[in-house]
Amino acid sequence: FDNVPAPMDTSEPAAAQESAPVSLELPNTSDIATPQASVESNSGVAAKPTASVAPLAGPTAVGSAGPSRDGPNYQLMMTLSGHAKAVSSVKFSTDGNYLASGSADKTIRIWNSADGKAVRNISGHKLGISDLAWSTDGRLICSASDDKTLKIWETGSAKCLKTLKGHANYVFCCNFNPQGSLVASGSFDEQVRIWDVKTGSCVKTLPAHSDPVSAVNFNRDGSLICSSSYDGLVRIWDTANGQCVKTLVDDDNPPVSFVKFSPNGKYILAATLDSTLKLWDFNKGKCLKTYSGHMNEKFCIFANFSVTGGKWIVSGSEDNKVVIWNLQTKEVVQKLEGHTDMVLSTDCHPHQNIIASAGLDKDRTIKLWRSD
Amino acid sequence: AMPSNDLPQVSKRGSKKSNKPEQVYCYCREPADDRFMIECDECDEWYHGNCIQLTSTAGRKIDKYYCPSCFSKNPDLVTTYKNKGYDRAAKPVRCNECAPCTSNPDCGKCARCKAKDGRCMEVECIMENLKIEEKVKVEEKVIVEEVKTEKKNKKKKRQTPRRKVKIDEDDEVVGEEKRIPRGQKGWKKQMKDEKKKARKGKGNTEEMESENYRPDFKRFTPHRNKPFQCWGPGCVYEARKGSKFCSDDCGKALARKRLESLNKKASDHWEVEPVDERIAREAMDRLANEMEELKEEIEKLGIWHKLIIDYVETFKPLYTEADVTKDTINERKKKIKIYCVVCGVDYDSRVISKHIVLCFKKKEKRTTFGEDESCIDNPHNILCQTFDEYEKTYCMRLRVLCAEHYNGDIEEDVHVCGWPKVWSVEGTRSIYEMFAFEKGTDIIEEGLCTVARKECKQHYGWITTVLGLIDGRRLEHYIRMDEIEEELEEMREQAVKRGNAWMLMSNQTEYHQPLEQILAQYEDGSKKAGVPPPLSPTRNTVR
Repeated sequence: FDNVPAPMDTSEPAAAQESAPVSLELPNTSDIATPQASVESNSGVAAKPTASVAPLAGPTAVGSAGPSRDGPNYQLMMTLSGHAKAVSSVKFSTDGNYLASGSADKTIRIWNSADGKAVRNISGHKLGISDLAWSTDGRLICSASDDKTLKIWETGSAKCLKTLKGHANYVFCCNFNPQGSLVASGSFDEQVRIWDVKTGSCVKTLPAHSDPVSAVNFNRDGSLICSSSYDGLVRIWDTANGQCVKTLVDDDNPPVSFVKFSPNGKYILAATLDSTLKLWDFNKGKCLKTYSGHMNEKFCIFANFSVTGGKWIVSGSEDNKVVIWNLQTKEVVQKLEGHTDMVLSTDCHPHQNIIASAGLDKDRTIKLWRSD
Repeated sequence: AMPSNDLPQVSKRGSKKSNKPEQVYCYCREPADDRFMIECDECDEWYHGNCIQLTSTAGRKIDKYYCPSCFSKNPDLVTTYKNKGYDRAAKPVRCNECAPCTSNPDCGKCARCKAKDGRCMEVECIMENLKIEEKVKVEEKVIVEEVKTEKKNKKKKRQTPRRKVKIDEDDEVVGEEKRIPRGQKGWKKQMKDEKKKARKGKGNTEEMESENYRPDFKRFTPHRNKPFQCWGPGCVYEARKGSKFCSDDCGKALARKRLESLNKKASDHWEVEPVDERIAREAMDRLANEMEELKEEIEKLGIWHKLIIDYVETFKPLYTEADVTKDTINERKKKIKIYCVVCGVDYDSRVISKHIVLCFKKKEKRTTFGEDESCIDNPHNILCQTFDEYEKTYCMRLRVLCAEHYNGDIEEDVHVCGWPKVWSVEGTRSIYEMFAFEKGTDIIEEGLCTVARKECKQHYGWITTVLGLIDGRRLEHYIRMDEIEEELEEMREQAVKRGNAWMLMSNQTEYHQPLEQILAQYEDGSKKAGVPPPLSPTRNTVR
């Protein structure tokens, strides 16, 4: 990808990928474009195609005032324990006050993100939970479970409002649309289903892939759905009529374990099971950035955009660490250690510099990290 | 299998199609064409039918064929034929009395008819069939009975409990010689006696005394038989048999310790008020405040209601002699045409008020507005609640404004219009402005309208209208109070679930930085981001 003459891409050699570890040292500055300058106020990942490769006067140029300011300094704040088995998914609510965690012990726990105390224990599923999602108004939580159903819960009273039945195999991922009226879910039966929240009935079934679907996500206005699967494809669908708008293919097609729209809706972040994360411009169908330096060969690990402080990409890893990259320069800026088992799920607080991460079976805790 | 004779296998001439040497068979040593061939079962050589004078039809009937050469070598190898499919000598069962038997059909398909034997095999003798059916029934019965007896036998075998005890001939036999089968009288007692003996050690065999022995009774299940330490906190004694503790006190002590550990968790939890508790408390306070305000409002409205009623009482004795048509105030008004909202016809502005009221009443009289269940308390008689016989519903209109059922009791003896001229102002005013009197008597400060009540066209029916306004407002407040009560009930339910024993036992938070610092940082972060303070996730969270 470094050889692709994309104007966005810095002509950084492959050294960046190999020298993966905690590199707070400045990369080769001689022909680094001013990507920091082109990162605009929009909280998205946009980078103008006309980023000029202006040679800098020296290392102390725009944005890179020093290694300590170049990266975040996340420190461990709290450890929340209580789940009896591996925690599969953690999500902050849209207002940031609550953190929901779903686990293989069939329960969902809601914690207050200000002081970390447990607020609710929600149970009702018959098998472990793979994924969770909050609705935008914070009133509903949707959970996807191995018992082939999804359940919609009311957060205040912890009651199950609807059970969505229809999938033929484990339901692996779920998400609300921004309006809160639909739920999209992907399952091991290779289908993506769209459900209506009010009635609990399936509105559309998309024959999306030929292998288990690993992630579904709505874009900012709810008009598009992106889905990824172990067959190596990322597909984008139109929500209204269920047609496939685009399929993103690369040279190689390793199983895609996670996919997500960027906050401004122009880019797609995809994680593949060869320990890389890729940032795609899906309109052009081109891969713009590649992030590596973590381990991801077996599990579906969530990845997030952190936009509250600096612009980072946050992801868990199978070597028990949480890895943070600089979004523009693609280098690893921090690795958070503390978990005793693989970290599959991470989430970023919507308006504060807090990261939540959850560990697997040997760990079973959720850790909250804070940065300045 | 390759033939076991000495003849050459491959032709020297080659086949007609190609020049390759081809496999040859038979006495004539020619290759296998489309002619009929048969293999000798002894020497595995294939022979053409022509060469051994065997037709294909005859050959198909052959079971095992031995060639003449093999036969000559071994006279035992006789060619045998296949079974014909029916025994020629056997007779089909015929009673020669039933209809099928006496007729002589020729089905043309079975072997006998083909052989023109005259005894078609497809004929079914009726008598014979009956006999066969009976036989089948009997057989089935026998099978069923066999199965039943097998089951019984199996059950019988399990009645006695399994015992691993070997009783030596020298020892006394434990218990009675005969074991009473389960369910019969005296079985339980026998079992109990045996148990007792097992425990006491009398009559125990060697095996029963050994370490690993566990009597196979379900009710009596000690976890271990080896001695182990009591589970009581700090206890050094041995646990008594059949229990985890050495004494009752140790058991109680352990339970107390468990509850105390919860205490510690609880005290940690409540030391600094959890943010969620704070949110919930603030929400409940807000609702409680709203409730108080509503109650005050209702009181105020009650006062105004009374004011109007009293005022009406005061001018009841008044009579008017004034002539309607000479009302000077009315004359000064300009003549404007206004559409009636109910019927759509336009009327003069002087008469429109009365018209609208009457027009509305006319229309409303034809409709019902009721519910199946009556409102139980109906405070201040706000609602009409008249039972409609036809629809079986209770009228839910405001009582004073109910076109169907209001009997006009408030204005019964009122002859004068009585409209307070304080209210004759341009523009619209809310109830609060209308009733902004300092004292009750202010209402007649500027006098009242003295036209006869039923004739007055400007202020027709004003008493019921104003009372209706007040009642409507009160009804709204009562409904809102009910809603608030429901919400508070929900919140109280949820409050019990927070920080209770289950939540404390199943969740734990560890702080790596001082808690005050964490909370302060979180608040700072919220302020920086300009985010409103958190609301509790109740039903009516509006964002």
